[in-house]
Amino acid sequence: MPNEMNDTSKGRTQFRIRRKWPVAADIVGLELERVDGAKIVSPIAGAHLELVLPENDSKPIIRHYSLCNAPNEQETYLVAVKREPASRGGSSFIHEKLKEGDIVQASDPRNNFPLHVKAERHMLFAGGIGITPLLAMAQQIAHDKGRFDLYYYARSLEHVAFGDRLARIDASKSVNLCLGLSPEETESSIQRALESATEGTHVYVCGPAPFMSVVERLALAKVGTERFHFEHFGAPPVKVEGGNKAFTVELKKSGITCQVSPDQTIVQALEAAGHMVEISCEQGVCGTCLTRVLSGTPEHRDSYLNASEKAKNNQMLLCVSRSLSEKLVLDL
Amino acid sequence: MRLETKDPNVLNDWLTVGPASRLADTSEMRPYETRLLGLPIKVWRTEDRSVQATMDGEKVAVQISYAYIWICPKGDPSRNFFAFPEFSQSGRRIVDCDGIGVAVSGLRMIENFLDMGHFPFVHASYLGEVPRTEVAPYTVSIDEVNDEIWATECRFFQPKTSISAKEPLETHYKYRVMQPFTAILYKSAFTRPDEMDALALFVQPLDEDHIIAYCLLAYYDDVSTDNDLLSFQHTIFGQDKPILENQIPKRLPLQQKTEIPTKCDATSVAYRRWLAARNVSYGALVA
Repeated sequence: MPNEMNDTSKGRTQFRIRRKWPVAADIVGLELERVDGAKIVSPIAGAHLELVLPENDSKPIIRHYSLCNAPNEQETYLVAVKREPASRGGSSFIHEKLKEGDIVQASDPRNNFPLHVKAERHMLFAGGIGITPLLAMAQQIAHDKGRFDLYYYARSLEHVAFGDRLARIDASKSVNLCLGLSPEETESSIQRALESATEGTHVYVCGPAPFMSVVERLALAKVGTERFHFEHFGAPPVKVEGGNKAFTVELKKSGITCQVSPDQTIVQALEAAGHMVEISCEQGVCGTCLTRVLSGTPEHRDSYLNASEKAKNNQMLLCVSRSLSEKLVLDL
Repeated sequence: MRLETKDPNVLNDWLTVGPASRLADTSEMRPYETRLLGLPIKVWRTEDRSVQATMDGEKVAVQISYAYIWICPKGDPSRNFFAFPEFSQSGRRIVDCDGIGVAVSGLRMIENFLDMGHFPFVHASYLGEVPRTEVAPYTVSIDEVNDEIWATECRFFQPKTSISAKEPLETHYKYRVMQPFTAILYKSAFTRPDEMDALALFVQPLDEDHIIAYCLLAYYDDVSTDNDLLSFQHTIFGQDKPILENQIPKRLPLQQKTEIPTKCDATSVAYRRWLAARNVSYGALVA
C-alpha cells in the first residue's frame, strides 16, 4: 500500500492551512497556501480540489471540495466545508482536528463543472453547501460583467456562507437568498425562477441529492439537457426517499451485538463495535461483504444479488443494505 | 476430436462461425474454412442446399439462424436456441456488418459490449462525451425462464448515437445476454423515437484468447446506406479493439476481488456471476 501522504506521483502538492474560520453555522472556510511559497494554479470557476488529509492511524482520507476563489484571488485556494452528521471522516476531521499551520496534500484544480461561455445568462441554483462552486461562478461572471441570477437555498441567514462575498457581487440584485422554505415552497420557488429562462439561458445546480433532482426535473423541462449542468458533491445516497430506521445487529459467532443508527451503515456500526468487515466498493456492487443472514429480514439496497436471491433473505451486503426487522442475526 | 476444453457451456451450445453469406459457391470439395475452439472447421452447402459441417474432420451439428452459421461441437445443445424476434419483424432492416478479429477472450468482448462507462472515453463524440460521464442507475435482472440477463432502464447522453443521428440524444438502452458469447443491445431508434433498434453481437471463439466479433443490425433506419451503417459500426469496433487487446489478463477473471467493479458495472457483475454459476471456464480465469 503506497503512503498517500508522501505520494507526489499523483501530482499532489503540499499545502499549509493559512486560515481556518467559521463562515456560517456548521461551515468552516479554509485558505490553503503552498508550502514552497510558489503561486497556485489559478482555478477556473466550478473547479474542485482533491485534498488528502492526514489521519491519526496513518490512514489518509481523500476528499473533493469545490473552490470558492474569485478570479483575482491567486495566492491561496479557498474552500468551505460543512460538518456532515453522517460524515465518513472528512468533514469531522476538518472541523474538529485540522488547525491553522497544518500541512495537507492537494491536487491541481480539476473542473467537471465549467461555465458555458456562450451563454447569454446563467441561472445558478445552490442548495446549502452546494453554494461553493456556484459562488466561484457568480464571482467570475460578475467580474466579466456577464448576466447571472444566483438562487441560494438555506435554512436561515445563519446558514448562509460568505455573506460578504455575496454582497460584493450583488450590484445588479442578482443574488436571491431563499431561506427556511419547505420542500414544496422550494419547488415552487425554483419553478417561478425558471419561468424567466430564455433561449440563451444555461442552468447550473449543486446541492443535496433531493434538491438537485427537483431542479433537474424542472430545468430539463424548461431548457433541456444541453443547457443544464450539475455537480454532485460526494456520493449520492443509494436511496433518498424515506427515513432510515435504527435496528440491532447480532453477530452469532463473535458474540457482538450492536445498534445501527439511522445515519450509519452496518459496516460502520460493526467497526465502531470492534468488528472489522472486509469491504471494497462500499456501493453494494462488488459482493466482498456478502454475509449470511441467520434470522431477521434484510432490506436489500444493493445491485449485486438478483431478485430471487434477494427474496430468499438468507444473505445480504452489509455496506449498503439495512433491516426491515428490528433485529438481524448474522453469520459472523 | 482434439478438443482441449471440457467446458460443456461451449461444447453443448450453439456457437457462431460466421455469416451464412460465406456459404455461397461452397461444396464439400471447396468448403468455407475457419476455426472454432482451436480446431479447424469446414462448412459447405450440399447439392440439395442443406448445410454440412466438420470440426477437426468429424461431422458436427450445424444450423443457419438469423443469417449466421451456428455449430454445436458435441451435438447435444443443453437448452433452446435463443429467440431473436426482431430479426423477422416487419419494418426492420437487417444489415450484416460482418466481423472484426480481436486478440482477447470472447467473454471480455461481451463484457465490453455491456459497459456504458467507457463511452465518453473510448467513443468520444459518438457514444459519449467528457464531462458527461455519469452512468445513471439502471436495473439488472435475470430472466429465469430463458436463463438470460437483462439490463433495463439504461440511458446515456450521446453526441452521435448512430449514423442517422443528426443531433445529440439521451439514448435509452436495454442489454440482453443470451449465451456466454452472444448479446443484443436495444437502443432508441433515432428515426423512430418510440421504437428500439436491435444490434446483435455474436462472438466466434477461434480459441480462448482470439475471437471474431460479428455485428448484425435489425434497425428501423430507412435513411442511411448499408455502407454508412457498416462504416459506423466498424468505427466503434475499431475504437474498442486496441483497448480490448491491451486488457490484462486476456481472459475474464471470474473469482471475486480480482477486479473490483463500481456501481455502473452492475451488468458486468451480473454477467460474471451468471458465468460463474454455470461454471464457464472457456475464456475465463477461474480459481
